[in-house]
Amino acid sequence: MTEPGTAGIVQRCGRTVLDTLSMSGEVLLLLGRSIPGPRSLWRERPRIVEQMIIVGSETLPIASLVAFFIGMVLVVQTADQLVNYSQEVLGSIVGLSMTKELGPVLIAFLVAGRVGSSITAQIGSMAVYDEVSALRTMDIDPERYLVTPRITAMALALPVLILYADAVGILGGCLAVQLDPAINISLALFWDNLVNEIAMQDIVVGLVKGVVFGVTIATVSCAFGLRTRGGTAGVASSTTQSVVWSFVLVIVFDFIIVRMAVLLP
Amino acid sequence: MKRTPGKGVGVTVDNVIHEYGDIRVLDGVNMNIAAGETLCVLGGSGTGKSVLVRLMAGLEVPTSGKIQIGGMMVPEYAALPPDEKPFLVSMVFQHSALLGSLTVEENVTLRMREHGTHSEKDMHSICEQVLDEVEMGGSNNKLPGELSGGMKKRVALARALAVNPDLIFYDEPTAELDPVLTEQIGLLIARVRRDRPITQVVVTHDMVIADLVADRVAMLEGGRIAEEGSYREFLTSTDPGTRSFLEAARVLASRDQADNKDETGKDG
Repeated sequence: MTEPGTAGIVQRCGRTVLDTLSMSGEVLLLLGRSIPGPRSLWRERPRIVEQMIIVGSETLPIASLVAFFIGMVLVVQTADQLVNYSQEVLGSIVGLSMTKELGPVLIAFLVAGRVGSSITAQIGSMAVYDEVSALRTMDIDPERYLVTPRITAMALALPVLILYADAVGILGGCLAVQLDPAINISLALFWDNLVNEIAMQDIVVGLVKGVVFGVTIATVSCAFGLRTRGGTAGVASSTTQSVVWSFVLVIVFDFIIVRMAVLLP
Repeated sequence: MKRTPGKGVGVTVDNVIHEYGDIRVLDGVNMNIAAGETLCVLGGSGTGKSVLVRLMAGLEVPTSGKIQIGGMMVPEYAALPPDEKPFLVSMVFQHSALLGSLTVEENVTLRMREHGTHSEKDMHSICEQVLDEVEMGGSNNKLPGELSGGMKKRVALARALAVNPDLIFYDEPTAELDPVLTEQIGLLIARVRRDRPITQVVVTHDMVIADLVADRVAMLEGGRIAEEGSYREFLTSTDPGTRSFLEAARVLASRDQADNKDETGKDG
């Protein structure tokens, strides 16, 4: 009994590894084929703008709410940890956490959950109902028509959303400093510490993360959409997988970027 | 422009085998379709009709064998830039495959718009003309979601006709339609056959369509072409597979007729 069980587990693990490698290859190839040149960017600009509007409108309301409360929670939680020390560093802790880490990752997760999943579901339905095949029979490259605008829009929109989330998060932090009686520093001191400690490099690292996360989420979402088979069940399965893949890759690339940023002078 | 529009091109299918994993769907299909001919590929569900038409349209690559359109291998034709194609191929899909976010006019003119081959004015005029041809005039600004199944099929046909193609593939063009709509779509395809000198390959299991549109029918069975000939020859076939397909089709047709009579009786 043990032997087939072990073999089954090994077989499943092997299949998972092979599927992961195959999917990674598919995502990379799709990215390579979909990176736009200047002419393609110009030609696709209406669809890029349309996609940017979708990314913004789907994410902004929830991003505002979440970033605002994260900023407040961060202040309250950090202040509690610093109860026996000086709370003067609160501004820099909150500012750096938001700009370098929480803002980019938070927005990436929100975009993967809301926009990435809808991209996979939309392209997946198009694949299942032969709309992608119809594009091919009309000599329209589905990658140019469907994927390039989405990757470009995400690469452009995410850094902007991250800047916005940073600002809203810091605003939430300011409000907590002002209102929470457990915090014994003034808003002016909080703000001075925040502004003095955040360097341009910290903001740029956050924006670079935005571009990388945007491209990753869009490519993964489109790749899973294009490989969808098997009706509505296939669309549901692809959508779930694309969100999981996006989350995992965002965290992996986050680590890589942080590690590289640490090496910067 | 190298191409003379809407002339019709021949299709040759040479010993095509197609497999999905261990399953052999097509097992040596051979066919010759003459330029300007309308061929119906008949067969039951799961016999590989749709796979065959997808292979012919270049949407999938056969495991082995060759398919030529207008004397060109399909991959060679597919690799040509759109403005260098010596002939054009269109396809009408089972689920219509209209892009849901585009209006009827945007769907119909999509190919021209994306390739920048026509002015806005020309595209609009072509759209009007083909929509009239499929009796969908005035629906330019509607979204596919606002159309019934039969209307979507008509718009899909209009989109196929808009570029003045030389060859149209139809994959189950009447799937999910009632007998009345089936006949209407059949009559439209028959009208295309009459008015335009193009080649048409219609994959269907519907005898009504075959009767209305086919110059010739081919019966796909067990992954091979079991029989080819005129519709009349097909009706008198002695092949056991064809006979059982015909029997089943007759039973269904008579049941549909009875249902229609019941409906009429109730209405009256």
